Amino acid sequence: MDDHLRILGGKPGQGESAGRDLAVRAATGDADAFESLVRAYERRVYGFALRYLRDPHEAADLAQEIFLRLYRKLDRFDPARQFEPWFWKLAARVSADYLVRLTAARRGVSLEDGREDRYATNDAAPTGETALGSALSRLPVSYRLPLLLHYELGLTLHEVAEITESTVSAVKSRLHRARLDLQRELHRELL
Amino acid sequence: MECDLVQSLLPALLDGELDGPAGRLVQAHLAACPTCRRAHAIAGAIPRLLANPANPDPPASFASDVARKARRIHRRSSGRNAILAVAVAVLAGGAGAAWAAVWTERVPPTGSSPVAVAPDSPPVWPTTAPPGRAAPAMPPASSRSTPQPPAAPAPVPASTPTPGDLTPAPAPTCGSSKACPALSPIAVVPVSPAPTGSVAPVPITPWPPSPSDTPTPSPSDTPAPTPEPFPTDSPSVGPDPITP
Repeated sequence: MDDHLRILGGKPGQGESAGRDLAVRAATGDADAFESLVRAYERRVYGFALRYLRDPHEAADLAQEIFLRLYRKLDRFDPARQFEPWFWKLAARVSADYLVRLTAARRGVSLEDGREDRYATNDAAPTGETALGSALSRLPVSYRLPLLLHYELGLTLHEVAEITESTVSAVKSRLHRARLDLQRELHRELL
Repeated sequence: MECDLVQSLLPALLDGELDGPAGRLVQAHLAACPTCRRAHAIAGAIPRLLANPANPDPPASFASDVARKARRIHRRSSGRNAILAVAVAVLAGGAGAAWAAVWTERVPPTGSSPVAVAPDSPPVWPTTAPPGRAAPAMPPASSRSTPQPPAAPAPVPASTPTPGDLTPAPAPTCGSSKACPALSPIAVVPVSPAPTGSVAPVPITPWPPSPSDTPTPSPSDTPAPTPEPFPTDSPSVGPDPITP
């Protein structure tokens, strides 16, 4: 079991059938299967959460919330469909909700203005930060979330628009702007 | 063309959204400008880098912590479901028992003497005591305050229906000394008018029936007796505490 679980730590889509099998078993109440499912996806979920929130503690909290939401929703998973798109969509929803709650709890933090957003301008970048990660950390979270949902989790523009409660054209505009900002940051760093 | 303008158009160019003369101008600039070619390479790499990020390790024991919390959720959920199931069972059992009690009250055992009991009347004798009094034991019929022969017209509270109203007939019950007549389901009997302004005790059907009690099988001329609560020092017309 552990051998094939390690495979799941790679790119999205790898180990789809293994993930689906574990999800089906976990949905029947198999606690060991659920723990295996968590182990299979914990690195990717935590990594996504860390790129999104830029705070290791918050990222761990969000990752945990994603898995617990998964646990509660497993009975709704249709084994005839692919597990990962369903799971990443669920993770995206939890992430969007999480930031809304977080910012509501810390009043004065604006989602729109990245300069005021501690999650957008966290100077203390996590250990092992790549150039891309560092550039991401300087993006406003309102740009970062669609970017991660679309390019990292593979959600469609329509799905991103639905989750971020926006329009497809607004999502495209933010993606364009986010990529341009990343491009400039990386270009400056690599010169 | 300025490098800034070209570089700002690179995402659109990479997405294939820059056709026509603008696209050709950008391509021409890229061919001549190494800085912008470098920016173009970086812009092209961003989606790939985002899709294949380097994932750090989560905190130690992350998976086991999550699994433990999930088990706790499962136990709580199971506990709630069990409590719900027990509650439903108790409610269902209680309703069944109540129905059985009412039904048993209406259909006494064969062999007892028939006594007039209103069809909707619950048990005749109260099981709870008035404030300050002990729960009553069932006294003999002769010692009760105002036993009314079932055949006699009984005063009823002013709120009871006037003559001509339709009232369910009493369900006959069986005495020990007589054969139980066939139970008629429901009949219609007239109800005597209540004495206006008077405070009358609610008639009660004695239990166990005295020998003088006679069955009231005839629905035509027999008023419906109403069960009486435990006799108090002063007559009262309060609602029957056990009548629904």
